[in-house]
Formats: sequence, structure tokens, C-alpha cells
Amino acid sequence: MRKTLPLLAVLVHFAMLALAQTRTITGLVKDERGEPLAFASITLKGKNKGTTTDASGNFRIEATTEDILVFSAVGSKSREIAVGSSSSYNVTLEKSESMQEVVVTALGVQKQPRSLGYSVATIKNDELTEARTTNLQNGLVGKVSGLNVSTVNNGVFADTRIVLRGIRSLTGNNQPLLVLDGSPIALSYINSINPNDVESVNVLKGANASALYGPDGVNGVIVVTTKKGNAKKAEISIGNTTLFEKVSFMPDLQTRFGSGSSYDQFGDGVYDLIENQTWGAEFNGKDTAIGRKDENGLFQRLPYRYLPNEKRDFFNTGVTVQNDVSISAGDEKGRMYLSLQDVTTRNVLPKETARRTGLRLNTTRIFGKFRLESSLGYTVTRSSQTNSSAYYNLINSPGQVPVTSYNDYVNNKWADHNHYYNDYYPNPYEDIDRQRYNLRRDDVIGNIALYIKPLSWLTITDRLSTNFRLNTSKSTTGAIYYSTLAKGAIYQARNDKLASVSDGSGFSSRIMNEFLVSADKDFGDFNVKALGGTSIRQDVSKSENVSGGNLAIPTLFNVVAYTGIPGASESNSRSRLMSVFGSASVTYKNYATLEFTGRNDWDSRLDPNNNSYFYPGLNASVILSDIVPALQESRFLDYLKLKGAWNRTGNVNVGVYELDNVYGVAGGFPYGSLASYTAGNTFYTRDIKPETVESYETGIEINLFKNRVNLEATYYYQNNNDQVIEVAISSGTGFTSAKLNAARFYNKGVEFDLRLTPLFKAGAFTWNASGNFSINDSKVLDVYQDINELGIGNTAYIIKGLPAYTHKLTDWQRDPQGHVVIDTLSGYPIQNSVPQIYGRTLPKYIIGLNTDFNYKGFSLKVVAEFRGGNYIYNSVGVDYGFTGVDRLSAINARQRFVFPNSVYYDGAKYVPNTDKVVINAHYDFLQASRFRGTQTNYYTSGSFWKLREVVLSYDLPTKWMVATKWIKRATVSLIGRNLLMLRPATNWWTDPEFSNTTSNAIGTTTIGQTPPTRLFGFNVNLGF
Amino acid sequence: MKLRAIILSALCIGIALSSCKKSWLDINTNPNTLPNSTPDYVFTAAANRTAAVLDPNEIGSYWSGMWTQSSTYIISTTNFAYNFNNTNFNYWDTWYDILRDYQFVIDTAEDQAMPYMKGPAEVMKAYIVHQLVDLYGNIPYSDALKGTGSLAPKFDDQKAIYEDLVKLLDQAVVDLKANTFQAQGISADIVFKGNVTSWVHFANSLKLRLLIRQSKIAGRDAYITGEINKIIANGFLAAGEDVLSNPGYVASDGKTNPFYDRWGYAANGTIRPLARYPRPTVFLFEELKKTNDTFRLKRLFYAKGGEGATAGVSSQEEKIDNYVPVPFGAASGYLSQNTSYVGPSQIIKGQFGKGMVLMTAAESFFLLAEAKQRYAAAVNLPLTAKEYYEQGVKESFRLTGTTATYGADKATTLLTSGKDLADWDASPDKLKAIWEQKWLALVNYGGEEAWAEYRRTNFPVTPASASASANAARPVRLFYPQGEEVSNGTNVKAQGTIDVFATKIFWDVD
Repeated sequence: MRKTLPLLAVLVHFAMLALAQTRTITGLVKDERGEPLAFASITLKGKNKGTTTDASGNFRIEATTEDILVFSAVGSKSREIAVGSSSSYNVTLEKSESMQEVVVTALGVQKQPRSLGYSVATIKNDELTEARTTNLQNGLVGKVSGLNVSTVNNGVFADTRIVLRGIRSLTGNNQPLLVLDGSPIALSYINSINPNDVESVNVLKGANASALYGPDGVNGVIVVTTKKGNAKKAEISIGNTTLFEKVSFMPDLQTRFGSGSSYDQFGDGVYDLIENQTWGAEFNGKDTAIGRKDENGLFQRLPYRYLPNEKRDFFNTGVTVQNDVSISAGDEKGRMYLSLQDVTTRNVLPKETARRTGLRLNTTRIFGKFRLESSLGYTVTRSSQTNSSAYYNLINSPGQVPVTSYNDYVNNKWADHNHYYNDYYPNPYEDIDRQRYNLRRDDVIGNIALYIKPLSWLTITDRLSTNFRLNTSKSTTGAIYYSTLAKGAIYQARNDKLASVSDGSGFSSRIMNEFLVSADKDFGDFNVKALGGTSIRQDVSKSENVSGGNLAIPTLFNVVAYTGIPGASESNSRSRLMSVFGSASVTYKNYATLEFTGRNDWDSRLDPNNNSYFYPGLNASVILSDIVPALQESRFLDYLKLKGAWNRTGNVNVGVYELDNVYGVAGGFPYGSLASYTAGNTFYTRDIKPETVESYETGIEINLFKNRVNLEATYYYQNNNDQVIEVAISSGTGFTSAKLNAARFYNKGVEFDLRLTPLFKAGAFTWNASGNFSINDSKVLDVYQDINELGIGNTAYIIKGLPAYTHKLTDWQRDPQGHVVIDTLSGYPIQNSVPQIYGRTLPKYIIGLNTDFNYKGFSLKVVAEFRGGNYIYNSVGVDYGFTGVDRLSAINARQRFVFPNSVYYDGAKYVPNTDKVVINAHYDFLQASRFRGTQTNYYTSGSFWKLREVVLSYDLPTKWMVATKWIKRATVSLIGRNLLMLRPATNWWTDPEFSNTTSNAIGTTTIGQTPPTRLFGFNVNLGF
Repeated sequence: MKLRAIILSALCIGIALSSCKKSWLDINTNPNTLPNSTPDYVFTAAANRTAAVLDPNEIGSYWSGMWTQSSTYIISTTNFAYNFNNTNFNYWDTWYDILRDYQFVIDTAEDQAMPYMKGPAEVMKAYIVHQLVDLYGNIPYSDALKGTGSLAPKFDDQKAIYEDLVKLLDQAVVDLKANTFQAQGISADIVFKGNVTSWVHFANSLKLRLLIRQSKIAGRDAYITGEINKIIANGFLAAGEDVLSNPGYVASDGKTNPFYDRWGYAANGTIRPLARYPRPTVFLFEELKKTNDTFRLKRLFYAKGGEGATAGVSSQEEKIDNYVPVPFGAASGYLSQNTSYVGPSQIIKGQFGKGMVLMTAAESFFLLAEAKQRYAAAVNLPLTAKEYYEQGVKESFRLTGTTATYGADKATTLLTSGKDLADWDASPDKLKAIWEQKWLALVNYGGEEAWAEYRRTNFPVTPASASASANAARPVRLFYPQGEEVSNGTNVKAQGTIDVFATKIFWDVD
């Protein structure tokens, strides 16, 4: 390169000499704010010649006095200037009228929104980070229509599930692709990104927008662009955010009865000293013995009354401290951005902590026609959590038990494992210390991109990227040696508990290279953009786990201390993908655009003879307000755009190594040198192919009243065929399931985005508001041959003719009017042995509301969100019911009652039941599987309103800064997150957003989710 | 010019890529598991899994009146009030899963140069298939185990399956005798270590089980006697020749004897919670005590409170008053610590390495006794029914450790006690004596077989469950599992309405 460059320069120079009258024109191009415009293009009108500005907005071009210079830049109005006598021009380009900003589309291509035939939402850094979320995805909640980010648990690493526009795969991945600075990476890396580093997030909402990504982009793409640095003076920014976290909501529990697990001849609960269950006697406030006698023959004594705050008080006030430093600098030759962030979190659950430290270095360097950009992020995440069922042990403690007084189990005799009152479950504090899980994760995400602009209309890009993750984890379980007294008495103390350890490590990496050639050229009234490229990539992962039990030295948590037989496992995977893709678009007079896209993938996960798939697409947009004269002249309508798109893509929901049947190590083997392998239970076929997804999208965008009102409406429809499902087959075949292409369904929806900027303005006061509303629905059209339904986990099912997914639950037997049918002898309701079909698991409606009030330096921003139309199964209630703490387990104060809204069958008809009381309203009924196994008892609406973000911030006046001489700006803000949750009164168990999984089977809550929290705190940010 | 260079180089890259594309992408070979296996490895897995299937024996032990549960656990209405549906008792999936492994061995043994693995796999296939018939009646058989070759296999008639199994066992004997085990097979054979004679005996005893099972069907005698006479020369399970499977259990959780692991102890000696679950029924103890068979009783169960500090010895004094059974199906009043635990015949702390019992020699002798008693001279069995019967009892005393612990005379004492159902000569109904003693010999060893025999013989007459009404119907079979109904609905529906209290298995004629 080094040699060819001067040679080229010489050649170009000779060409120049041929046109004798030319002279050199130089200048600077700026935007209307006075910022230099990099890469603005300057062409000579009518001539095939041009240049672009450098990073500092400077340009240099040879022109004659007759030439007309045409200045243009993405997002700006183009401007023509006749070359006069001056040889230096400072040009300011105004922003284009309708949509000022450019958006980043697939493959990092920047485009004007007006030319897009599909939906892309842009979230700028300030919108994203206002509420100082630790995770990027939580900053998106409520701000993008069609986006559903569910935080399914509380905790230092609350898992999230992200879905754009519903689902396209019944059993496969439905979460979007993450593209960081141009490199597609696994979505899980989103947790490693420092939101403050993010310049903007562009959400490519559907397969149409992300057509160029092929199957990877079928679920939409979250395009994250990090800050590149400032071309002006160096700026240093430091910030601190401190957030406090409190449990916001505890389940509703019964408050009348204490420990016990039986009833007397009157059906009243009997007190039991050592019980963990709360099926005992009613509270009476009397001084009562609990637990077993100590060495002196004495009991622990407690007032027998309900302690209302014990369970909530078990939880700490969590604290998250986030410290940020960033340096941004640059000049006309290059830019850099360096940041360091440290986030430490102490969760509400005792002794649960996490720390994330991240470093980012982004650089840009310009060498003539070459531009080299690099993006590098390194994040270390560490956490320490408990493996124990502390929450279970806490919440299921009898109401009179002062759980928090057992905090110090070393010095408090009644708290240690030899004297703890409960015979069956351990002291949660001791268990938290005894069972630990420590994790360290190192993530490196980086890429180097080289841009060459050999011609004004041609750009060549090569991007080499890699990311890798190293996970190391250790689970430890401490030993407990019980005293002789305890061994002889306490049920769980009969055997000493021995120490064990499990140590795992995993490595995963991706290497990818992407080569792109793009052209952008005007031909008269037509603008043609063309792009072609190819990419190759390899994904590799490996994990190993070793474990040892019965540790010889109970304090040496190292596998070497094992006795018996250690456990060991290993897993490897490797896959490769090769792609060729391209797009071509034609725009006429900047108001009508038609674009074709195409991509061909060769995927190693598919059979080599059957691994090439082509995915075509098409989209168009037209700005009616620029064409129709009546609209052009309208006084209130500023902009009216129609758009439409179609594409056919795939979804490779085939795992690595899922083509052939395998034989795995049989359970228990090897026994010494005796090995054994058994046939796998899933039937795989080499004929498997990607799921096909055909997407249609159409929409309208309107700006009214001088762009103060902006409304977008989009309708999408997706036909999803050849779904890869693992269908249960007759075990008579020798297999229990077969993985094949079968089911089909459609997914459709509408999205509305309304922005009022400003809604109200008076002097220095402005009030902006925006809202989005999405409806999503789906319907399963076919499952597989005669099979009409398929469970996908939890209570979620795919059922022909119904939305994906639908709850299928056990219910009471009901008469045609829906009354519960009872058994006349016992008065008990009868359980229907056939599970019944109930409502959808995924929200049908999502509403996001954003509003901000600004007055001088003050601003108040509020984000609220509604989700509804879906239902949840609170299986957590089954656990609460087991021990009798659940509100339902104290129906009618456990006295015999007529089952509400019940009927009985008199042999001919159903007769309303008014007098047949249940023969037992205690353990035999409310604790029995008859009641707790009837899942509809714990089934509620999943609807909620949440006040997601409230941020009050104040920019300190500049004049104060001047006095300090070195501080340029200062902002302080007060932050609140998830301050309020509204939900139906029938749901007293937990946050309906919670779930025991982030998989498709979302919609079931269990004891694994600790109570939801609210966060509040402050942020201080200084710029130098 | 520059443009041309770019296009040219892009083309070059393209050509280079496409030429290596195929091999570059052909990397999808699973490094984590085997793409194929060999008959020896698969047989070992299948045999070990067959022996580890405890669930049918558990429910069989309840429904044949041997076991019930302690009140430490909430009463299972599924088990003791017969309150079950097609989501309960799915033994189907496990059995078919294992059958596929045996079918693999049968199909590939010859091609993979291990023909000696074929016979054992055929015997084991028959061992499982007949149990499936005994539990479910008509089942997929001729159309089964074909993968996607038949995704919804049709069901075969149960009687025809039994007949085919008899033929399969004949074939197994032919295959066994034709092939000597090689080293690989000897280590893979965790049942008989390559002993062809024992395999042939097992095949014949199993065949005898299938034939005697059909003995109450009218007009079946000629078929049964004919089939028995065919196999007498090759012999049956001899004294001491129990069919045990043992891969070499070791003291590590998941690697110990599965019966020990579930109803006894963890590898480190910690008692399993489920050790507190199964309990002997009052009826069982009464039957044993009626004939003063208390020595065997003490081997079958521990005294209340279970095993003590000395391995194999009860914590309480081993006098008969300390052995406390539980009325069948009783829901309360019998906490685990106050009642008898499964005993040293099966569970002794630390003895995690015993083989799992697939079939006992005792059962084989009782089958021979019944064959001789029923068909007399029509079968060419060399000994008398009484001789077979008495050997059966002695085999039970040997296997339970009664002989070893209390002396060889204990069986003789019982056989000469003058008590009905124990002393052959003192028993007016010889078949009932055989059935009673076989029932006792199956305690803790063969619940599933005991329940099948209970349904066939209706003997011994066990009391009703305390959790069901006195004349509540008892189950005579299981429902087809829900999964099969969903995935193979048409064929399941073709079997008609299944009434688990009335739709009897073909051999259950009265």
C-alpha cells in the first residue's frame, strides 16, 4: 500500500495537469451548530469528480471558475455554491427538514430515515442513560414500540429477555441480534456494555430492517454504536451514581396461624414446636416454647403472635455505586474515546454482591483516503451469590418466628444448627454462608475497521472483529457437624453434612471478518446506492466442570480434596458461517426509494449438501408530502411518508451437532473400566432446514404543526413456516422425540409512536411527551400431522388455533356455566384430570409513556410502561401453600366452608351448592395436592403498569462554572426506578414481569424469584 | 483502473472462498458424544438400566399387598385410593427407551462381528416386552422401534405378542448356543459374564413364566405343554442361579445398587428420606406369622426404627413384637420410626454393591411346580411338583439370607410345619400353596411380577386399602400414558375405552 499510494497520487496529479485552468479550492464545512462536518461530500455539478471532507470538516478540491460546488452530507440539506474568485469557502449546511438525524441501518450503513421502507428506532445516549441503568437493555424499556424487555428476576444479575415484535420461532431463539460497532455478537454481551459509552442505539425492529443480516437478524437487531471521541478539544468527564434498592413488594401471606402440620378433632390446627409448616394453632400472643430443648433442658420461648415485618426486614437496602471516567479527544487526523467504569452492587438479599469493571478504548485515525477505526472493550464481572434456597426458607418460616434475630448464628445459640427451632429446613442466614456461588467473567469485544474511499462515491470497508468470554465459577458447600444432642433429635441433623465443591470454566469466542464495498452516486434525479459484501465467521466454545464431594478437609474448597469419585465433564462446540450479501437502492428526487436486498448464507450447522440458503428482500418508501401539491402546500402537514417492505428470511434453529443421532454415556457409567453408551432419545435428521420467515411491513409517518407532532404507525405480519420443533413421538418408535420441520404460525401486530415536541411551551418552560403503543398477536396454524399441541416448558403450550404461547393448566371440574363441581360426599371440588386451556403467556398490549418537563437548567423526565393481555401462573403459590403461609391457605380461617360458586351433580343436572361444606378446610384440603395441584388457583392476569423511571436533573448554570475556570459543566440528578407498580388485586404473589426462565416458556413464577425492588438515588456528572 | 483492480481482487477472493468453502464448513461432527456405538457397549447400558427400573416393582409391591407406606409421608391417593389417570405410572417411555438399545444390539450384533450379543439382547427384549403387556395389554410391537420409519406405530394384539415372545426366546436359545462369547462380550455381559448356559436357563425360565401366565385361559393347555416340553432338555434356572445384574456398583452416588440407593442409603451412608416410605403390610406379616415363618420375616424387614449401629442388625431388639407392619393404605398412625424398614435381605448399610435381581431361581422352581402340578404327565418334567415347590422355598430362604443367618433347617422346618400354604402335604390346595410361597419369595425382589401373578391367581386374598372403600374396585392394568395418547392418538383410540378397573389383560380371565 505504502508504495502504491504515492504512485496513485502521481497519476492523479497528471490527470489534473491536463485540465490547465483548474485551481485549488479549500474550505471548511460545518453544520448549523458550527460543528465541523466530517465526510461531507463535495462534487462538481455535472462532472464526475468530487471529494469529501476530513474528520475536521476540511476539504480541498481542484475546480475551475465555471464549476458549481455541490455540498452534501447525510442528514443535511445539500447546497450549491458557484466557484467565484475566492479560493476558500466556509460552508454551513442546514439539517434536512423532516427528520434531522441519520440512522444506522444494517451493516452500519447510515441512511436518511426518509429513504427507509422499514422501521428503525433510534435512542440517543441521553435518553438511554438518564436513569443510570447498569444494563443497556433496561434503559430501552418503554422507549421503543414493539420492544419487550422483561427483567425476570431480582438480583445482581437480573436476567432479561428481549423480544422485538413478538416471536417468529415456536421453540427456537426469539431474541434479537446485538451489533456492537458493526460486529454481530451474542446478545448476552449486552450485560457487559457500559451504557455511558453508548453514542446511540438503533433498533432495527424486524426482519425487514435487518434483511442484510439474514437469519441472524430475523428477530430484529439492536445496533449499539459507542462514542468515537470528540474532534475538538479534549474533554474529561467524571460521574458518580449511587442508587439504593429496597424491596418494593412482598407476597400477601396469611397472618392468623403459626407452626404446625396437623389438626385436632374439631378441625383446628395444632401447634407444633419443631414444624416449618404453618398449619398450626391460631396466634394467641402467649409466651410459647419453640424448637427442641437445649443441653440444659430449656426451650427457646417466644410470644405466639404474628410478626408482620420479619420477612421484609430480612432484606437489606441494596446499594449500587457506579463511578465513571471518560476522556474524549481528537484533532483533524484522529479521535479517541477512553472510558473506565466501575459498578459495585450489593443486592437486597444478604451477602449477594457483584462488581463490573469495564474499560473501553475507541480510536479513529485518518490517513488521506484511509480511515482506521478500532473499538475495544474489556469487562470483568465478578459476583458472589448463594446457592441456597434462602428465600424459600425465609418466606416459609412460621409467622411468629423472629427470623432476623437468627442473623448471628455463631453467637446466638438459638440460631445455630444444633438449636435452630426448625427440624426440617436450615437457618437461611447460615445456609447463605454455607452455600456459595462465585463467578468471574472476562469479556473482550473488539474490532478494527479500515475504510477506504478511493472515489467520492465509493467506500470499501473491511472489519475484523473478535469477542471472547472466559467464565470461571466455583460453587462451594460447607460442612456441618452436628452435636450429639442435635443428632439424636433434629430430623435434618441426623447425618453430618459434608463439604463439596464444583469448579467450572468456559471459553467462547467469535472471529469474524466482513468485507464491504458500497457505492453512492447520483445520476440526474436518481440516486443509486449499492452495497456488496461477504463475511466469514467462526464460533468456538468449550466448557469444563469438575466437582468433588465429601471433601476430606472441609475448609479446602478445592477439587483435590475430594473423596469418592470426582465428577468431570467437558463440552465443545464449533460452527462456521459464510455469507455473501448485497443491496441496491434507487431514490428518485429524494422522495421515492426502492431497495432490493439479498443474502446467501452457508451454515456449518446444516448438512453440507443442504446448507446454502438465499434470502431476498424488497422495501420502498415515498414522501407524499414532497410529491402531492396539495400536501406540499398544507399549512399544518409537514411530512407524510408511506413505507412498505417484504422479505423472506430464515431462522436457523438448529443447534451445532443436531443432524445425527448419537449415543451418550449411560447413567452411572463408567463403573471402573466398564464403559457403556446408550442411544439418544431424540431423533435427528439431515434433512432439517432453516425455519422460513416471510415478513411484510407497511407504515405511515406524519409530521404536523411545524414538526411538533410526529406520528408513526406500522403494521407487520410474519408467516413463519417449517418451524423446527422437537415433537414428542410415540416412544414405541424407540425415540421420545424427533427434531423436524413442521409447525407454522403467523405473528402480526401494529405499533404507534406519537411524539409531541413540545407539547407545551411557555418561555423557558417546555413540556415534551411521547408515547408508544404496540399490539402483538399470533396464531398457531399447524403443529405436526395429527398432533395439535406441544408443550414448550412450564405451562406454556403451542396449540393449534390459539396464540403462541397459551397456558395449559389443571382446573376444577366445571359445569357449562363455569361453576366448580363438587363431590357431594366430601364437599370438595373435583379436580379435572384433563388440563384445561387458558390464556396467552406473552403480553398482547404494551404501552410506553415518556414525558419531560424542562425549565432552565431543570428537567424532570418520567417513563411509564404498561403491559397486558397476558396471564401468569404463580407456581410460587404452590410452595407457599405447602407450608401454609399463602393467603389461600387460610381461606375462611381454615374452618369448613361451602366452596364458593360451586354446584353439584344430582344425577340429572347441576344444582347450586349452598350447604355442602368441605369435610376438611385444613391440611387434608388446602394443603393437599387436590387444592395445590389445581393450577388455576394460582393463575392471574399478568397485566401491570410500572413507573419505570423518574429523573429530576439540574444543569448547574454555566456562570458558576466560569468561576472555577476548569469545570465546564456539572449536572446533578435524582433518580428513581420502578417506583410504583400497579397490578390486579388478584395477584398477590409477585411481580408479573418475573419468570423462572428467559426462554420462550416465560410466564411462570416460582420460589426462585426474590421479591421485586425499587431503586432511588442520585447522580453527579462533571465535565472538564 | 482502480475499480477494475478491486473487482478483480474481489473475484479472486470469491473463487478462493468457494473452492475451500465445502471443507471449511464441514466441521459439524459432534466431539462430545458418539455418532455410533457397538453392541457390547449398548448391551451393558441397556442391561444396567433394565435392572435399575424400580417404579413398576414399587407399585406392584403395593398392589400385590406386600408393601404400603408409612404415615411420615402424606398418603398417596394415587397409590392407595387408586386415584390415578394417564399422567401416572408412565413406565412405557422408559421401557421402550431401553428396548431400542436391545433392538440395536439385535440388529447390529452380526454386522459388527459380535453375534454372541444377539441372544442375550433377545432374552432381555422378551423380559421387557412381556412386562409392558402385563401392564398395558395391547402395545406397539411389530411396528415398534423403527425410528421415523414408523412414527405412529400400530398396536399389536397382546396374545399374539406373547406368542411371538415365546418364539423370540426359542430363537434366543438358538443364537446363544451358536455363538461363544468373546472377551468384549464377557465384560459387556453384566448379567452372566458370558455364561451361555445360564443365559439359556434364564431364557427358558422366562419362557415358562410367559406360558404359566396363560394357564388359566381355556383351551391353552396343549400349546403350553407343547412349548414346555420343547425346552426341558436345555434346563431352567438352577439352585443358586439367580439372574442378577451388576456392573460393579461402587460407593459413589448414582453408582450404587439402585434399590439400596432409593430405599436405603446414599453412597456416604446417609439414610435416604425414602427409606422411611415403604413399609410391610399387616397382611404380609400375618401370613408369615401364621406359618411361624418369622426368620424369613426378620430378613425381609428390620424391626421398628430400622437398622441400628451394627450393619444388618435392627436398632431395636430383634424380637417379633418389635416388627411393626402397617395396615395396607393406612393414612395415619404409623410413623416411619415406629414401624419396620425394608430389611437386610436387600438393604444393609455399606452393602451398596449387590447385584440387582432380574429373576430369582426360586420363582423358576415355583413355575416348574405349577407346571407339574397342572399338567402332570403332559409335561416331561423330571421331578415332582412337591420337589420343585420345596426347592423354590429353599431358594427363597437362601436368597433372603435366612439360611445363612439362621441355619439351613429353617426352610425344612417350614416345609414340614404341617401348616397350610407352607407344608406341601398339609396344603389341601397345592396351587394356592405354590402361589402363596411364590408371592412371599417375590417380596422386595419382584413387585411387578407379584402384581401380575396376583391378578392372574387372585391369591393370596389381600385386604382392601384403608384409603379406599371396602369394596372399591382394584386396578387391573394401567392407562396408556398421556404422551402416547398425544403422539400416537389414532392407534391408542383404536384400543377402545380403557377402564383400569375392568379392562383386563388377556391372561387375567377371572
